[in-house]
Amino acid sequence: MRAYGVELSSPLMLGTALYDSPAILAEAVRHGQPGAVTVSLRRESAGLQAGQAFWELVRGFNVPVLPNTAGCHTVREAVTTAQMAREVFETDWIKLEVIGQGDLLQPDVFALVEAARILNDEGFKVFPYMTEDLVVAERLLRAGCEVLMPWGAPIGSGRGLNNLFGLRALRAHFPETPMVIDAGIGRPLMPLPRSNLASTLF
Amino acid sequence: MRIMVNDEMKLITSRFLSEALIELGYAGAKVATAIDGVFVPRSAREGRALEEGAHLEILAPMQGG
Repeated sequence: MRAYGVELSSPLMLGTALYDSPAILAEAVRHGQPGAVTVSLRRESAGLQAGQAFWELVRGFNVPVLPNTAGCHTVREAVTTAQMAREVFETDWIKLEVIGQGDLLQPDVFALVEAARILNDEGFKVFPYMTEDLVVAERLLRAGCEVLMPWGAPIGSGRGLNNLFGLRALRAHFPETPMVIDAGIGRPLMPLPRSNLASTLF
Repeated sequence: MRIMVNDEMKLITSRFLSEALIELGYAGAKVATAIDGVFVPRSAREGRALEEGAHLEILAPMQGG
């Protein structure tokens, strides 16, 4: 899979959250050999330097890093967080999340398109976290995105690919666009059926 | 002066962002900063004045999905 001119060693992207320890995360990356790892930003307490330690761990993986704008609810928050992420992670890549609905953490697709346009104009390489909506996809591509990142299901729900028809329609309408299915896909314990489905979608 | 740092009120004597980061214990830290919701790049911290009541956001790398 290619994303913004970069050939990824694997179509699998791996999140770095919720591991019991940095050692277990490092093992997961070593065994999973992902094409990229996703990371985030948090408020840093004075003197702790926890962020520095995490950054050094991630840099040692030697795989592309994809920071996100998790927790952002407005265009302004998302743009500012993306700018901050670009400085600390030293990459133009950004997984753009603008959450519009609290219960399902559903993307605010209107704010998403607006934020994507601003960030693309500033030279970011945007991976927009979106619903599987053809019109939203079209607007995101028109705003300068070269990759789409539709949800499989709501974040953390583990429901798998909730709307296979919608995902297949996206793939059919945009056959040349790299597409990463994000969120809600399920546990690593049950990867096989979804891997097979995914291979037909990517 | 009083400013808000990551939503906590702090009393500082520094007048510029670069000095405030040192005073607040972030010297040399891998952090990004924003004042009143606007990103301030590392290269601009030295000349960036702080005003009473400013909201300073200090973010660092963390795990994410």
